[in-house]
Amino acid sequence: MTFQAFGARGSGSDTPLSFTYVDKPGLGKIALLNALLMVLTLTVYRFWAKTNVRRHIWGCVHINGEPLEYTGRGIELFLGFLIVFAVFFLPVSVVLTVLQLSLGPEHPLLIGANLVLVLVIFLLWGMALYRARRYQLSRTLWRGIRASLVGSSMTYSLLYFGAMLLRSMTLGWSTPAMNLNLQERMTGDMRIGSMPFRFKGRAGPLYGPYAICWVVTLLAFIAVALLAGFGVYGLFGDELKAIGGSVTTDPSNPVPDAHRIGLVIGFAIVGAFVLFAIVSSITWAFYVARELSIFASYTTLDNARFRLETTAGSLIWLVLGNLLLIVFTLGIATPFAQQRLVRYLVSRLSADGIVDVNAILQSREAVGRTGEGLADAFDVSWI
Amino acid sequence: MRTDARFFDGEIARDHMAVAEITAQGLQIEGLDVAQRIWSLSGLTAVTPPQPGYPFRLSHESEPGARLVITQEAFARELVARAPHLAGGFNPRRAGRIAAIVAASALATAGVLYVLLSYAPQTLAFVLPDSWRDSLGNQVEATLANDGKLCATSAGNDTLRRLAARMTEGNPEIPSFEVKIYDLKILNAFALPGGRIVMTRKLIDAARTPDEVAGVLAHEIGHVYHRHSEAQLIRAMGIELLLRIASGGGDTVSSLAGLLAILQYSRDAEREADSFAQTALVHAAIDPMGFKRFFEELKKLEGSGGSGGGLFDAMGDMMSTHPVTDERIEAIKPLPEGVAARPALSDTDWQSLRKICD
Ligand SMILES: [Zn+2]
Repeated sequence: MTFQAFGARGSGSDTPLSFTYVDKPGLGKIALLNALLMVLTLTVYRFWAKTNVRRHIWGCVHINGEPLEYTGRGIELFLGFLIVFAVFFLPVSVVLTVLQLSLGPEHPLLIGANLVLVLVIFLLWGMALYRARRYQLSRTLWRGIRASLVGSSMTYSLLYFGAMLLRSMTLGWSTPAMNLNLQERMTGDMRIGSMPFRFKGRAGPLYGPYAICWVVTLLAFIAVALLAGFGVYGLFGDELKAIGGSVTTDPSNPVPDAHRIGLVIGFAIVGAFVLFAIVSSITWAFYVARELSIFASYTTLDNARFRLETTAGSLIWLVLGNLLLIVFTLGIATPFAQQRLVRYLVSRLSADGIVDVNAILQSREAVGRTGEGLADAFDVSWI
Repeated sequence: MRTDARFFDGEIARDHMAVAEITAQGLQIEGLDVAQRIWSLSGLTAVTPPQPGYPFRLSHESEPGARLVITQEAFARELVARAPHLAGGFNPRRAGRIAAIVAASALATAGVLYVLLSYAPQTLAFVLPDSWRDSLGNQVEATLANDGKLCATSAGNDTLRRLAARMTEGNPEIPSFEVKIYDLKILNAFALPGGRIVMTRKLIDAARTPDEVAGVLAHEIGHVYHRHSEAQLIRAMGIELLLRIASGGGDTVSSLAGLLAILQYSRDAEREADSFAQTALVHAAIDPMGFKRFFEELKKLEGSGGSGGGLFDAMGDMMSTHPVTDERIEAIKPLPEGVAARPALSDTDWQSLRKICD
C-alpha cells in the first residue's frame, strides 16, 4: 500500500504556494505530560514543554505538502533563560535589594532606580520580541531549508520603543503607521533559505478602520461613564446630598449609609470598567482583523503575494475560545489553544502568484546557540 | 527492498524523485539528478516518528539538511525493523539515563542550596552594616505593629531600661538594643533586626511574676545577640530569589508566607537563645524558674487543645514562633548554689510595668 504526501505538488521554477494545517494525533499526550512535569519541577520544565508543543504544531503546518520542522531543543531555551537571569535579573534584584536595605523603601534614589528599571525593560521589550522570532525562525526548516531573521535586534528595539512613546504622545493615532514600520522591518528581515520576504505598502488603508474604532471606543467610554454616573446618582442621589449636607452643616450627625454608598460606587466603577473592556475589545477586533489581512497582502515571497482572510467575528471567537480553554483546564490545554491559533492563521492563509523553488538555497546565516532568554523572562512569545 | 521516494538535498528547496533501497551497507538513495549515496542505518534519524497514514521522513547525520520522504508503508516498516531506534516512542534506556541525570542534578542543587541557606545567612547577618539592620528593623517593625499602640520603650521608660541593663551588665559583646512594649492583639515577643525587641501587652498580662517577663526578655536578647532575625530575613530573601529563578522572573511569591514565617526560628536558634537566656539570668541573679514556669504555662495551654477562645488563640501565636518542647523546658536549670536570687523587679516597678499600656 502506498499513500501520497499531503497535497504534494510543484517543484519547478514556477510553483504556486499552498498552506494546509494537518491535524496529527499526540498533542493530548504532550499536554498532559507537560502539565505533570511542570508541576513536578516547579515549572523549570517549561522550556522542554514549549519545545515539545512547537515540534508537534510545526509538524502539522504543511506548505506545498511538506511539513515545517522545528529543530529547537529545550536545553537551548533553558540556557538562554539562565544567561538572561545571570546578566540581568540577578544583578538587578541584588542592586534593588541592597538599595532598599541601605536606604529604606521610600528613598528617592530607590524610586529613581525603579523608574530606570521600568525604562530599561521597555527598551528591551522590542529586542525580546525580535530575538524570540529570530530563534524560532532559525529552528524552522522546510524541505530541509532553514529560515532566518537577518537584521539587528537593537535597531528593532529602538524602533519599538519609539513607537510606544509616539503612541502615547499621539493618543494612539501613530499606531497604524508605526505598526506598519515594525512589520516592514520584521518581515523584511525574514528569509527562507536564501530567499527574502518583502514587505511594501502604505499605512493609508489602515487609517479608515483605525479612525472608526478610535471614535467608537471614545463614544463607548463616554457612554459607559455616563451610565455608571447616572446609575449611582439615580439610586442614591438624595442620600448623596444628605452626606454633603451633613458634613458641612451638622458634623455630629452620623450618616449610616455612607459606607454602603461607597461600596455601590466601587461596584459601579468596576462594572463600568468591565463593560468598557468588553466593548473596546470587540471594537478593536475589527481593526486587528483588518490589519492582519492588510499586512499579509503587503507581503511577498518571490512572485507570490500572500492573502489572509480574517474577520472580526472569527478572531473574537478564536481569542475567547482560547481564553476559556486555558482557564477551564487550569492551563493544561494551553497547547490546544496554541494549535487553534496556528490552525486559524494557516487555514486562512493563501498566496497568489508563483515562487521559483529552484532559487531557494540553503541559508548561510549563523545559527545562535541559545534562544529566547529575554522573551521567556518577559513572557512575550505567544507560542 | 526498494521504493520510490522524494529526496531533498538540503541545498535547494526543490524536490527530486529518487529510488531508495535497503542494502547491506545501509539505505541507498539514487535518482536521475541525485548522485548515489548510502546512508548508514545507525546515522538515520526519524524527523517525525513513523505513524500509519503519514509519510515517513528521514534525515541523516552526514547531510544535516537532506530529507528523504518515504510513502510506501511496507518499506517504512522494514526500515524500522532493521533500525529500531527510528520507531521513536519510549526508550527505557534513554529515559533511564535522563531520569538519572535529572535526579542527580536535582539532588546536587538541593544539597548546595540547603547548605547555602543554612549557613550563609547566619554569616552574612554579622557583616550587615548597622544602618542596613536599622532600616530592615524599621520596615519589619512597621509591618508588625501595624496600627497597634506603642506603650513604652526602654529609651523612655525607666523600669524597662533598668531591667534590660541588669540583663546585659558585664557583657560588652551584646549589641545595643531597645525594648518596646506594643498593645497588639497577640501574645508574643519578637526580636527584630537592628536590635529591637517587641513585647506585647498581652504577654505582660499573662506573666504572673516579673521573673517570667525577665526570662522572655533574656531569650529575645539571645536572638539579638546571635542576629537570628537578620539571618532569617536574608534566608527569606534568598528563598524568594530562588523561587523567582525557578518560575521565571515573575513576582510569584513576593509576600512569601508572611512575617511569622520570617520570624519563626529553627530549633537550633531557639536552643541558642535559651542557653543565652540561662547564662544571662544567672549572671543577673534572676531565678530562671520563672522563665521555666512561663514555658510550662504555654505548653499546658497548647496541650489543652482548641477549647478555649481569646487568650488561648493569642497564646497560639507565641507557640507558633517559639515552639516550646519538653526538651527546652528541661534545659532551663535553677540558679547554682551560692547565688541568691533577687527579684527581677521591685513590687512598685512590677505594678507600673503591668499598667504600662493603660
Ligand atoms: Zn525565640
